[in-house]
Amino acid sequence: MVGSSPVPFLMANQITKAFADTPVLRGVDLTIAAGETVCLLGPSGCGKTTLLRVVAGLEPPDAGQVICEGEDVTHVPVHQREFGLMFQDYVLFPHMSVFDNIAFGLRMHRWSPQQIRQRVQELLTLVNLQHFGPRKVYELSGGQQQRVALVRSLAPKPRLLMLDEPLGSLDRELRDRLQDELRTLLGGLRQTTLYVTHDQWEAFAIADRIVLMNAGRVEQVGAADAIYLRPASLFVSRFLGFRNEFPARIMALNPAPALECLLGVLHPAELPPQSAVGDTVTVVIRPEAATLRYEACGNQLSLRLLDLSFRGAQTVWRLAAPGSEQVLEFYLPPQVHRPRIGDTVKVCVEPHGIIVFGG
Amino acid sequence: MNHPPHSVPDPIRKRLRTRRSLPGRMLAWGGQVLLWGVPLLFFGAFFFYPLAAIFRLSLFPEGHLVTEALRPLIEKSYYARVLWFTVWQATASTAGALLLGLPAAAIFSHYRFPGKALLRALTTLPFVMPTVVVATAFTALLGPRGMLNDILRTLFHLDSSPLHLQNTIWIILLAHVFYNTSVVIRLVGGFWANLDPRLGAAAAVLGAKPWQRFRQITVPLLLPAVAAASLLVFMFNFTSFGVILILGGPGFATVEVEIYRTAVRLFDLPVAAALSLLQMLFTLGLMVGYTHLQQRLTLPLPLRPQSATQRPPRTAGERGLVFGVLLLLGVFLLSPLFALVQRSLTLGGGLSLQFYRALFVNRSDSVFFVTPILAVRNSLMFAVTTVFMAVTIGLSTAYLLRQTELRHKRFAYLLDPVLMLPLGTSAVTLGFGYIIALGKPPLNLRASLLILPIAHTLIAFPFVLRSVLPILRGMQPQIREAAAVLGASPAAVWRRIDLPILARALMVGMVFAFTISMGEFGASLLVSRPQFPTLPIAIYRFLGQPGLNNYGQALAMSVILMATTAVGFLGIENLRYGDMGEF
Repeated sequence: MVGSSPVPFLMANQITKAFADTPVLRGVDLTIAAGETVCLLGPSGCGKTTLLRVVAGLEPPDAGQVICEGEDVTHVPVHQREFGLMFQDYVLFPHMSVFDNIAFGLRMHRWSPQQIRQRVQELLTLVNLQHFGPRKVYELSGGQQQRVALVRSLAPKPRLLMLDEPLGSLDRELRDRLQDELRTLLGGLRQTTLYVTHDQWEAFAIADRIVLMNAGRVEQVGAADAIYLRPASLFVSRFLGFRNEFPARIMALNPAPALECLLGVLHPAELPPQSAVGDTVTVVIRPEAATLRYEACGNQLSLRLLDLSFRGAQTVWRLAAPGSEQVLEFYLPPQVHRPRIGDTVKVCVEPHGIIVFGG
Repeated sequence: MNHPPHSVPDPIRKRLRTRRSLPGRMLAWGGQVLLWGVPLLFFGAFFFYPLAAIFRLSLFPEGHLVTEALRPLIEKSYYARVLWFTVWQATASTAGALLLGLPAAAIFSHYRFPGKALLRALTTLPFVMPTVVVATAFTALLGPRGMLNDILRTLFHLDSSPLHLQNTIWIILLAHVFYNTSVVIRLVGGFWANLDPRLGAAAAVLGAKPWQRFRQITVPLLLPAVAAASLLVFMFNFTSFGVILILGGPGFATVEVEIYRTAVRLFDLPVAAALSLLQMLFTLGLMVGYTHLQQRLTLPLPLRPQSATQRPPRTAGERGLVFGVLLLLGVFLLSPLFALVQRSLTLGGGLSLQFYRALFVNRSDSVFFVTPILAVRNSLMFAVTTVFMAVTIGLSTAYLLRQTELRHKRFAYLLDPVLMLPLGTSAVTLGFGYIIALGKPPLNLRASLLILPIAHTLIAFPFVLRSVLPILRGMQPQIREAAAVLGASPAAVWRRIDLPILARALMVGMVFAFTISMGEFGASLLVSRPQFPTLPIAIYRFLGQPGLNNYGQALAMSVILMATTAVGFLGIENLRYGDMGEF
């Protein structure tokens, strides 16, 4: 089964769900192709976990259907869906050994003891826990528990693997390492996966496609770089952490688009469709879109240096337009000679780094 | 409905599943009906219906309000004296239990010493002892043929027994103190042990002297616990039945004993019903007070693990204090039980198994129609039935309560105390209710052997509920979801996840139910059938008969009952993890 089969592996159509009259999902569509890893990304409370629980069959939707491999599974009880789910805090069975935890799903699917032994050993080897089978689960470290939870959900070869903030309760360093391991593992298995996270970097690292959600709706769907380069809305832009946001007015559409704002005149690569001269718009400049350059360029800005913060591979420059309170933040490579605070510096902004939102 | 397109490959089609079918939905619905229906029916038929029958008999004997039955309660000074006696003996007994229990609680909560776990378990032992065993043990220690009189006679070469405590208020009070000291130690000591010692340290840094710290910090924080324990002990003493009946003789009567005498000896049912009503009012009031204090106890106090609050005694004075209090406690709590065993094995000054052997003989002049040892069989049979029913009711009410807590929190606040009502209802009242309500249609169980285990179940199931509920509350809700996603059906989830996790708590509840059923006296005395005496009933009847042989057999049977209870109780102590149970 290759990615672009005529029927997607899973479709959720117009899912609505409310808890005690508070709408959590307001008509959400979701498709997952076979072998694809889709990330549900969004701030907490956006409905991503509820959507996952609806797909899993743990919550019945108020309206809408879930179709898996062409079959309407909306009302199929959770234990008959043959999906896998890994919970945020793992939820290992405390009264069972590591082996029995992994074997649980296999026993439920009536594998033979011989097959079970083989499969569990294979999975333990996969995550480098060969000798941990007889251990009690509470004797394991956080990272080990995480790996046991992962292979427990993988053991019965689920049609769809779902992961709900699987790295959420780990510290940053372990998280970065496991993130890469997870990507390699899921890619190697060609496992169809639905992954829920609130962390954009995690989503970028793991997803083939990201579904960005906000307040019970889908805000944008696309590959990680597509979303990063072209956020579809101010919400997405803010969620991605773009802080250089300010109002502007359209001065010209042709031949090159031009905007007027506090910083002067800017030339973005493109304008929103159906823009007209005189429209008020909101401009966002991505933080890595600027370079320090003293020769003239299309979008040259003269700015006063407020503050420098060294972060290793990059330095965060905080700058302000002369005579204005508007602060801009740019990520620039470390400089050998750096200006003093209060100096005026000239930066060039790449036209594609200027994103314009109508209204 | 989205029809599967033609391009769907065959192997995938094979996976097609049906919607949750009609039978499936009916099963889920049926499960809910069962979960609510079983406990509600049981409660309705075997708790509220008998109590309502008492109410009706005392106030509405002919369908309209008649206060005739209440009149003697008001007019005869005899009943006022009964009530007065009930109150003052309960007060005195509670004071005694506090006097002995509080110092012991202080020692248990502040010091670590070798053998503490065992000693703690042993001090709790008296509380779980059946009331007939305690009563028999006190006759064995302090009675005219008791161990203490024997010792005094030998020491001072006396011809007659110097101590005449049988049928006096003193033996009653001593037995009550014996019974309830462990409640004080357990409740107050448990709370005290977790009280943050840094509170005292903070006061000390602010300049408080030791006495001031005790007055200003410890006492106010401890007071609700002491009050709750006192109230509980007062309630136990107020409803005391077996101890008064056996040790007090005909001269003493609490309201509880008076209900029994009026109903069974005088057969004046309306007056007995009126007395039961009075009793219910009192216990209900005490229960309400107790629950209120319990809620005060759950105030967010900074509680600390016991390892942080306890240390070994350091100075010679401390060691002497610990040793002295524990010795006094040990002697007081263990000597009656020791005397019981010693007396049961003594005949004519020598060691003998005669009393035990007599249990296997069906004598024609005996008080029974059957071999006495058959009482053991009856008790076991009833206890096993009780365990089965108590587990059914206890488990379903636990799930019911948990479900209500999650879905309708307000309603749970209401449901919880209702489910605990049987704990606050006196056993004699319950038994009396059964006699007047369950002996005639529509629910005629007079001839049924089940009536006894049913009564025992009502008394015992709250213990199953209370031991299972905390574990149920502690279970991650996702743990069942994790199992379901892995392919476990609801039945498989229950069998493989719920049951193993609840197993230990369930065992604790079962052992409680078993020992309660084995030792239950008040309700059994009213509803048991003469051909099927239980151990406590048999012991009571033997005690009521003249002659050394009958008394000896009562002792022997009490030892058997004591051993069963002790084994069960020590089993519970081993099964408990940490202090996770609620009692």
